Amino acid sequence: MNMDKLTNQVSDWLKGSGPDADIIISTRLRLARNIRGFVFLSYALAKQRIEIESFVHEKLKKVPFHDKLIYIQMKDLSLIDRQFLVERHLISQDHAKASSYRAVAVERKETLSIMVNEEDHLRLQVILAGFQLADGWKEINKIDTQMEKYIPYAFSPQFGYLTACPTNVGTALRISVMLHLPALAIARQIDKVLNALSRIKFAVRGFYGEGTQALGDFYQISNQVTLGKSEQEIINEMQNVIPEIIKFERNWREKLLDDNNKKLKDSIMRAYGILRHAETITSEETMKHLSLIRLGINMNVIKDTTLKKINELFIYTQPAHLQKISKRELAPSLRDIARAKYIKAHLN
Amino acid sequence: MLCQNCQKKNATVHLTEISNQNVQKEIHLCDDCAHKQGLPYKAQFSIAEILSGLIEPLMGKAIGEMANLKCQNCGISYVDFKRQARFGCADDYEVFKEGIVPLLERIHGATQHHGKIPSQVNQELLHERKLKDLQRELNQLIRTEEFEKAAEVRDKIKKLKDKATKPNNSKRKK
Repeated sequence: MNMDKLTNQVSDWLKGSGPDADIIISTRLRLARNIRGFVFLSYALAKQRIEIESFVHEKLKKVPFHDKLIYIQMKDLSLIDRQFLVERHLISQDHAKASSYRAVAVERKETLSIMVNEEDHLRLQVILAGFQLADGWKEINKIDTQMEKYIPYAFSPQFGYLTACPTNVGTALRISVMLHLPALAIARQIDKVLNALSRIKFAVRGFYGEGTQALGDFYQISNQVTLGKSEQEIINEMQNVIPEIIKFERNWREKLLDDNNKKLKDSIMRAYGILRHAETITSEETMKHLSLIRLGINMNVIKDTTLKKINELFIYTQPAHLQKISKRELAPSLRDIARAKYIKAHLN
Repeated sequence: MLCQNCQKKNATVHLTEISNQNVQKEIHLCDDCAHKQGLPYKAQFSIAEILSGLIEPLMGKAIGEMANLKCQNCGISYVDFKRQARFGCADDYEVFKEGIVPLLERIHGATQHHGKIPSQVNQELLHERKLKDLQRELNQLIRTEEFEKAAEVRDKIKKLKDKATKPNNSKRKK
């Protein structure tokens, strides 16, 4: 089945390449779109939801990029498969949890995903490795422009693209940049960054979006304002803010190395040691140690593994990924054993 | 961080107690333990709750007329929208416009779209928008005293206006 294809490949955005890859994991852009003439999702009856889903399914067969898409109906997926897609950042938690008549179209390299019947009829997402705002916008804008030839969007000259939630209306563009900020976390400087960001109306979330903690020192920074600014203006603001945070993190990395060379190196190597030898390990502990190892690679303390490998481990040690790899359901305690084994095999 | 109480789950409730002597004490608990201890907290506000909070004061003023408003297309009332913080269909934006404009002003600090327009939307609108955008750019440039660039933009505006009044000449090269 399609899902196995996804399990065996590594998402393009995880490859540890791209500009500023030492700090920026990925740049994600999302456009919310609704179809003219259909009721919005939260008020749509089952019959209307089916109608919307099949309408989109038919239209997606005609778009120029149709042959690159894998179309998956959520009803065909097990809970583990759904969670797997969440862990891959291809669908939202809500999309995985909710019942029928939802779907997702995933582009083979996993750069593009289109959620059908999420909060809005369509949620287009492009995710690229590293800091790639301009390319990300170029890509999603192209997809969106191709789709609007087949799908009439709900649009108003005053309010722009009309969305189910008033926080998304206008451009309906949400940019999320995922940053790895371990040095700022160690130096307890994160709050400064978060306070500054909230003052300029930027939201900060954890690894898996809304409501998740900053596991593994990952932070997703995204714009909150979608109305009154053009897409380019939103991108420019992001382009101005993110490099400042990158600079701040890099400065602290250097300072930490200078200040207590041995102590930091010691914690990095201990983390590496634990992951290479543990017999059982939880997801939280894994994230914590991987974060230090990632820092170690970027600071040239660890030289015998790669950023790509560590990036992959962040995703492949998540619960659903482990169960997909093991090809069976695992209780949490068994997962911890499988996780330790998987990490060992990949780090030794 | 683990919950200080059960040492099992992740702490999601973080409190700072300030006693009489101004001594601060930090407490980190998981949801369950915080509940058990009867702490007066709310782990997280949902977007709906935050939005209803925004809509609330507006409702006070408009409740009389607005409460009875109902969208003919999706059937939701302004009160439904207030409760769910979600629109029922695209028409709601027009039907509840009076209540929505101040809400958008609060959320986004703006009430007019300045971004992309789908190609299916008619040309006249596109033209009008382009003019508005250029005008905005011109004002910005004048504010920042970049007069050379401003002159360029002014010329663009003029050209665009001419095009509209003389549609037959629109393809003429200069």
